Amino acid sequence: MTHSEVIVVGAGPAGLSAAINAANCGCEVLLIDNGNRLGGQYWRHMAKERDLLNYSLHYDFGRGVSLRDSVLNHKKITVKTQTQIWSAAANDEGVVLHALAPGNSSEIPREIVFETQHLILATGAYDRALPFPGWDIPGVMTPGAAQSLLKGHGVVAGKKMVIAGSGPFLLPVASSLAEQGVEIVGLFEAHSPRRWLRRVFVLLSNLGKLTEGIHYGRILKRRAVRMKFGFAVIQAHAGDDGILTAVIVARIRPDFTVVVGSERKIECDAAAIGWGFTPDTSLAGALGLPQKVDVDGAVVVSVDERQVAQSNSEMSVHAAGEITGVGGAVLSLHEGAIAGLSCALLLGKITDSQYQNTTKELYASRLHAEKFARALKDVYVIPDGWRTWVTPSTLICRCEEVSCGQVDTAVRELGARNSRDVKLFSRVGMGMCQGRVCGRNMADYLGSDDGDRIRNARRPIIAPITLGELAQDPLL
Amino acid sequence: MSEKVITCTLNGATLTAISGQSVAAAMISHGERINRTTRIENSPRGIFCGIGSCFDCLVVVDGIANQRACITEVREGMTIQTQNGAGT
Repeated sequence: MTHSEVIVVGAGPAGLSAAINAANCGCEVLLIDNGNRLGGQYWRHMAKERDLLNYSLHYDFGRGVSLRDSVLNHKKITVKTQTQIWSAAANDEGVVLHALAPGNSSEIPREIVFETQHLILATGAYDRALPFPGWDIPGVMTPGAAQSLLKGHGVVAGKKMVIAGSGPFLLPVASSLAEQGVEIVGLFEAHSPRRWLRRVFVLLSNLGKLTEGIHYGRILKRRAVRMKFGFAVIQAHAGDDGILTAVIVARIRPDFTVVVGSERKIECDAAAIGWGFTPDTSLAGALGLPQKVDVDGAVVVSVDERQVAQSNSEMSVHAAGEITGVGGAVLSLHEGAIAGLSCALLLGKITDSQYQNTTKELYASRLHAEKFARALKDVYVIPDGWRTWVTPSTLICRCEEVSCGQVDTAVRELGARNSRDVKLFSRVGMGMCQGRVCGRNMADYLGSDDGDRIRNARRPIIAPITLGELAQDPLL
Repeated sequence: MSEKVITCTLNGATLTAISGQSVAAAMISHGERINRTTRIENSPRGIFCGIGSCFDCLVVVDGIANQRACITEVREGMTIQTQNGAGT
């Protein structure tokens, strides 16, 4: 078992910011991530040799590079990448994390056990996908998948692509793919831009975001890609080989119900469709941290103004970034910094007045970024009208291949009243992804209350582990 | 660590990739869109979330089933097979 003063889980904007701030105060920090490089999804990048391409694929790669390099060069920070935590437990004395990491020579991952009194969770978020007929066809993916193939591996997901869904993330995905020569045959935002009209002040007080939006708009204009508003992909079709050949796009109302007769077919070899993000609170749930339901319906970790989710005189668990509510990289950087400084304060590395002086501005910046995040959630809300897109044979749980019809049967004929009942009757959410993809959709499909959403998001195991891996002696 | 060309096999055929690339990226750049077929319906699946969350892009790597192609890096001499059902 290895012990560290502070452990940070997740090396995206929040985690990097937490690590550097804690380390700068003199804390010994261990930074763990399951990816192969620092930066998380936001600053996902390729090896240094391809930095030219890295810079061209990101809007603000420079900031990510300097943060990454200062973390990598910091004497107080130890970095462990490709390390997947699979279970965790907290008690009054501290936290124990069980992880799988590549073994020294053998290819089978080995278990490593970490222990700390001060944990900072910054596990981020993943794309939200909504079910529709054909969403399981190869070629249909999330915008994050298309973006990670390009930013992380230099590969385009298709030659002729449709990009659809809702939220500002569609813009960087569409523009970077267009820049790489992909023919964007359709770019569809479900909501009307008029929804920003009532929030013009928020937009104008976030000129940086506005500038970024204009940057993407210019690229798309140069590449002759026009975003169409009020449309959604409601079906996908496959050829004889089972691979995507076309999507059906329809005009939708503000409640996401389809305007009948507006459907049209668009041929494409890949479609990137996403509906904002879902925080990955699996580790927080396993630790039993307090959770709540955010305004967008996502289950998030509940924290106080110091980003503390749980603490006593001996230990603390902080949470920062998307897992406390989706808000983007800027908000994540502020939250991470505050969490790092709070750990330093609890460890006695800085005084109370030093903490207050350093965080005064951070608190104000965090509040400002939170207001923008709130506006985004209001503009890009996901109403449950998508439930009219599905048919009884449409899968809702991709892992266990459970259809919407099977869920309807569990409710109508077997008397299921909540996510847990439906899970026991139909296996929905019992697969390898642990309900990450279907959990939130299932809750919306059933019209679940907050308690049901939180209970269903709590899972004891974070990632699958084989008996073979479990049977080996721990590496450390 | 400089970049180099990696040679592996996909269903017995040669697959080249750049070091640091994921199995999923190497497969897509060679036009291979199907990673596996499902246990119950035997229907094809490919890359979906791309970041290790959804467990849809599972392949058999060096004889071990259920490996996420999107977060598994290619290695010299790696044998990759598309997975049928549970892969056992």
